[in-house]
Amino acid sequence: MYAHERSLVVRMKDKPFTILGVNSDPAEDYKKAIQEKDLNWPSFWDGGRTGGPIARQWGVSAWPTIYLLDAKGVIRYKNLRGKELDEAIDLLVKEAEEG
Amino acid sequence: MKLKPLFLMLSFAWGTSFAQVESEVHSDPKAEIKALISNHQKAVMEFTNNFRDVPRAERHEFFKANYPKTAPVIASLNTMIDANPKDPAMFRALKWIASSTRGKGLEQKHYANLEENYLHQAKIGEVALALTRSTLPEAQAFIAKVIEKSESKNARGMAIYAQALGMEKDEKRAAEYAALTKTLMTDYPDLKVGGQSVVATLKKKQKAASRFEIGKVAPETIGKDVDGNEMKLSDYRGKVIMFDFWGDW
Repeated sequence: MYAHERSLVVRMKDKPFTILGVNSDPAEDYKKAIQEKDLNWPSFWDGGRTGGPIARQWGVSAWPTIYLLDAKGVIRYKNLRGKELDEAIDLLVKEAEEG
Repeated sequence: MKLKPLFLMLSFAWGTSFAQVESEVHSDPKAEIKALISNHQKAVMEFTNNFRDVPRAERHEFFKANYPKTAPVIASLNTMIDANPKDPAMFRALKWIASSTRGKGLEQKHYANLEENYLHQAKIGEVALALTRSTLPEAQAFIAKVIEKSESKNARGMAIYAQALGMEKDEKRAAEYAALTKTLMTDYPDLKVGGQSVVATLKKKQKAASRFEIGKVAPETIGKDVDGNEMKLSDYRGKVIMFDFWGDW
């Protein structure tokens, strides 16, 4: 699944877009994954388990769960995948650029 | 000296026949089913305890090699069900097959048995709930049949709840989910599952979910990165954010 995230990071390099992760792995596994798999986007670390404080705050009980927020912080889409996710991101980025 | 082999043979034969007698003469299927299930549960608990200490990289293999197999338990239960399908003690066996396999172990004859003997009893709702996470068409058809045909209001309520839980995470079925939730709240205010009021559970979920509905401003979220540096969601205001709850599995 990282291939998609990595390609998004590259494709959106100069755009008003970021992936913001909430990672639920134990710290050492997560650190290893960052190195080995080149995970170069910002990420909260949610205490090393599913059901950490941020997941509880957001009521997330299934992983992965993806929210798309627009540039104003409004929740606009939830749990899109693949092509639908790309299209929604493009739409929101266009909105943000046209401001 | 000559006696010894004979004695051994005899005791061996006696031991064998004694064991056979013991299993055949087990005249209480209810107790036997209970024992089969609780032995498996004990094995699962033991597995879980060991699993905690297995390094993450080896967990997949360890799970495959050591998770207690359900197939032999199901085979024993099936032998008992086939021998005496109408015995009310078999309900527990049928329910266990449903829940331990998420419906995959249920054959047509099992569904037929459940419908024929338990359709109008409240407890058939428990089987519907056990099939909640099954996407098999026959499991979903069974839940639908309980909703449509059962004369037990409790069973119908549990089956509706099972149907709702099954589509809870599916964004594309949000409207269906909302309709089922509304039915439960209006028509089944007294329904309980596991001692908990279903309506209270649903209301709690609705309230929690409403803060994170599409169209709402995401609440401020504060935490740390893996190196302990403070970070917050609002640091990224002005950018489109793909807020991604993930893990490396």
